[in-house]
Amino acid sequence: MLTIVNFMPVYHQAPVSLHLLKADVAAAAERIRAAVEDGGDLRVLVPACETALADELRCALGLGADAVIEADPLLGFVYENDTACVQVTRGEKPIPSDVGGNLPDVRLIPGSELLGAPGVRTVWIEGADAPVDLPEACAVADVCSAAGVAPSDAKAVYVGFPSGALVSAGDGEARVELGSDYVRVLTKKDCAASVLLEILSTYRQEGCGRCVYGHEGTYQLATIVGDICRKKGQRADLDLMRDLAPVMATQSLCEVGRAAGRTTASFIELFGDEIEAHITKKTCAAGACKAFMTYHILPDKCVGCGECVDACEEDAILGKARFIHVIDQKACVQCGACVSACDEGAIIQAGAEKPRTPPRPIPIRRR
Amino acid sequence: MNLTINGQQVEAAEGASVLDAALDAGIFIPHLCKHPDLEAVGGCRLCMVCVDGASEPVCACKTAAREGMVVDSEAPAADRVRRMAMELILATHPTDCTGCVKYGKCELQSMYQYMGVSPMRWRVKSRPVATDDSNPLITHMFTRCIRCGRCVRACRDVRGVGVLDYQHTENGIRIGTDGHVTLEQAGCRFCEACIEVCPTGSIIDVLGSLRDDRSREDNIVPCRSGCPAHIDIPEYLRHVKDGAWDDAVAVVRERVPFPESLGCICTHSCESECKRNGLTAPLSICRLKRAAAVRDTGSWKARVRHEALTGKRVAVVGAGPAGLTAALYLAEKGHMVTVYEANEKVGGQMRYGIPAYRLPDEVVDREMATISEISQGCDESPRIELRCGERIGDPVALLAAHGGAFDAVLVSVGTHAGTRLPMSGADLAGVYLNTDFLKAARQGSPLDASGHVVVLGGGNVAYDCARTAVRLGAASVDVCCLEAEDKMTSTPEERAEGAEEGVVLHDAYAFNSINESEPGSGRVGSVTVQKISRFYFDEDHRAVTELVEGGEVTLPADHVIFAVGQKPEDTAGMGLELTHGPYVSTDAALRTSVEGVWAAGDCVTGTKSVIAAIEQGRIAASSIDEFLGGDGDISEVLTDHPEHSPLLGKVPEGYYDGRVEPASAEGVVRAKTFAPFEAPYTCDEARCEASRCLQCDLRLDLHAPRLWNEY
Repeated sequence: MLTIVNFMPVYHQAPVSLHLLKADVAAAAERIRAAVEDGGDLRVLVPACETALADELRCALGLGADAVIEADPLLGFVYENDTACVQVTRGEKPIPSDVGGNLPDVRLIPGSELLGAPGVRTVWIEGADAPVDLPEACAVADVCSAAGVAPSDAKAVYVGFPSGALVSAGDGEARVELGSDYVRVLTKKDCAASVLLEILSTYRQEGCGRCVYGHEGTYQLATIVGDICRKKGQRADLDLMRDLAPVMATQSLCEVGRAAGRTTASFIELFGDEIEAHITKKTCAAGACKAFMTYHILPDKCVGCGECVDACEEDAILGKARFIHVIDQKACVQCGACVSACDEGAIIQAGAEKPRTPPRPIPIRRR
Repeated sequence: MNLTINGQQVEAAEGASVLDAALDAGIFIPHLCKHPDLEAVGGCRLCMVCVDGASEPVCACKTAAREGMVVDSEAPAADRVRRMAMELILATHPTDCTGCVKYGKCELQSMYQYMGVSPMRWRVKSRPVATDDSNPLITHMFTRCIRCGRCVRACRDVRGVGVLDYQHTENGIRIGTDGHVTLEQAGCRFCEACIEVCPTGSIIDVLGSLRDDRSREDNIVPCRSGCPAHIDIPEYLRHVKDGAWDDAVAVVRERVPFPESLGCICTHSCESECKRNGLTAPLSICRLKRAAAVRDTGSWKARVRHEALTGKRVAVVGAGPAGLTAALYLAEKGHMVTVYEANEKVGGQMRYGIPAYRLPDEVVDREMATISEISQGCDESPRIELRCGERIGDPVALLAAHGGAFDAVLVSVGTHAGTRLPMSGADLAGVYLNTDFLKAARQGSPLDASGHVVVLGGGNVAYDCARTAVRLGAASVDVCCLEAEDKMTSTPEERAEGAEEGVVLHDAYAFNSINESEPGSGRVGSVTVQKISRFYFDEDHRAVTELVEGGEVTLPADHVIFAVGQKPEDTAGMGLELTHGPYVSTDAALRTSVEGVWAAGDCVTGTKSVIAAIEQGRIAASSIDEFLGGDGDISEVLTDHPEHSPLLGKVPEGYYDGRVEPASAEGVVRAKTFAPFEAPYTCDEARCEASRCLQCDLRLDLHAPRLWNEY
């Protein structure tokens, strides 16, 4: 039996295993030794950039150079897969050849699992400086509070790879399995489509390119969601994703493509309406997608000076002296030049909620 | 093991995959990333099947066949996954197939046409990757790549080379070398397996390297097709690499009976075809043949064809390479052969044309002795009778039908008459013909070559004359020819070696006149030549020269040698239909206008090469054997031909270096002697040189996947 203990960060921004290892290398070595079966082989994976740590661990374990492998940190997700980790122990690149957990003679233990307390999951919440300990199965409200998000602001909890779970924050008592080093709480200010795009972009980088559903599937999802966020979504897009995501979740060669499919399916299930509004109503409810931002001239601040008209290269601003100026939204290209030209601070950018403005220039009432 | 696929009972071998079981039974299931020679990975998801009524489809290439299994490749669930996978592949593949070299041969094209799939509902946009044509032999057009990974697996798993892999780049994942270095820097062995297994036009032979007039096999192994006798060159080079000299010679002897002579003097058109011309330098194929031949112990002799005597008799007129080759194969087929030779010894141009410093008498004698020995075999008396010093003026009279004693006659008299150009002074004393000059030198009674010698002509024979003159003690030797140096028919090596021995070349000169030493002396004194700017043949095949005004040069000359071609002697009186003057006219099987008479070699083809003459001898022997009631099969298997190991392994030290050069006497030393100046390769040199072979033929061992229309 070959035991592989993995300290490679699955998310580079959430190096939980490495964090726990560095906290006490000697204690970690003790746990690692205990995890190896009698007569079994041991390999430990640490990032290639952590040479000093690798040496320290070798000393503590009393093992030779080849037992602690300094692996390439270019990819992260693949280190959750035993077939990929076995490749690394053979001096090859970390490329999965199958779904993990099926190798009879190999046991892959994530460092975080080995070093964490029983029943506790150490997770790194997006934006935090350090990981926090939470129960493995945790109430949504507790995750939100650990993330410093008020329950009224929270929209959902997203658990990263390999779980890919998305749980609505509507019910604070709802349970969420923390099956990842990385957790993100979506707030009212987060647009579901653009968060999904971020996630899919990560999957694009983490993919190995070996299978059609993992590689081309993720490419199509990322491209479609990207189009949606750029106001280029098409009516059939959600149906396309509903078609593709479940097939990816079963037909990708390894967990990376499968989790991408699962995550996408969860986002559509929970936030289908919000995403679809980008296409049908041309709005981004959270006001996060830049393509849906518009510029407006506030009628009570405009002095009719015409500076903005001179600044607009698209001739998209209508008005004349002593008239309240109005931006023609059809002609506006959202360059923002008018904002800096206006000394009165009368021009603002608006997301989901638009200010009231006259349809065409009207004379300024004497103030 | 029995299973049911699409309602059909199918037998499968233990350990076979469902896909293999189906394909072997003639049931087509679409697939792309699976190749007959490569491990399955299950990446393309085209070979989807539902097993035993399960709703979730699995890929057939990774599913082992089991007894009693019920497989459905047409189940809606399997079809859905397969079609969507193909849509996704096509969505990023260039849409226009017509500009692709693989058009009509592309597996992807074949597969999507079979499935009738269009990617139009997805985001359709190809991912452009700059074409990389910086590598020799292999061009990468990865815009067309579908990342099936067949090239990666072929390079790693089949060849053990491992230079190709998936690479993360700023613009996504693509195939390439680690560190994005050139193929040579990565350690590529240029075996071209990657080209062979690529289902699309992503990895291709360098554009323009494949000739339309050649078969696929000939294009892939061009040395073999470039050899007139089609010697299996990669096969014997592998034996040389392993130091298996007898096996190497056996492979050569399966096609030609003069390995050592050819190893010394072959014009080696194979080397100009060698794919390593694009990679440092071609293999030294000719010298490797010699290296093996000089170490041959003859263990192949036991396998020589030796059919029972037929009672038929064949006369061969002319004991050059064509005649002797035919004599050997006819004798092996059981016919009694009498070889008539006008000269005192056998060999033809090998003995009387080619100078001794290239091919000494001993080699010709040795190979003749071997021919006599193997053709006699265990018979009591020889099957080949040599009758030297007998010139046959009327070969037809040898036929039984015309009062002679033979059932068939082969005319292989070669081209032993030199050509004298009809120019002023051509008949002066001291003007020689190439054939006379070279033959006299070989017979030990050389013509006078003292003083200044001028050779007119630019082929290898001109250089044979010039270098023979050097050895006979000429004070100076000038070679003049019409062609500019880059158009000369002599090999560059020949010119370089000649120059080292003091031969001065005057290329691109027209021959104006040969002048008397003193008016009325009747003896040559000088040659006047004139520089030309251009030389070509017009529509009527007449030579046209454009003279350079004031470009006249007069070279002092005590002797002038015409080396401007040679032609057959005696053919005019043979009663055979002739062509282009004195050449014997034949059909493709080398039959002449008289039934029972064949002709082969230079007297048919014009002066060519020993290897071309040998091939003519083979064709004639086969044809004559059929005429005499045989099956015409003269092929031989003189050694075992085990399956090739597909594994090449990591690139060895020195793989990209140039040729290994054998020991060779310096110009000033060899200019004084007719002894051969180049030593055969040592064992180590030969093995090192042979290991440079790309083994292009291994590519032919890879199995081409059958397209759906072949099921």
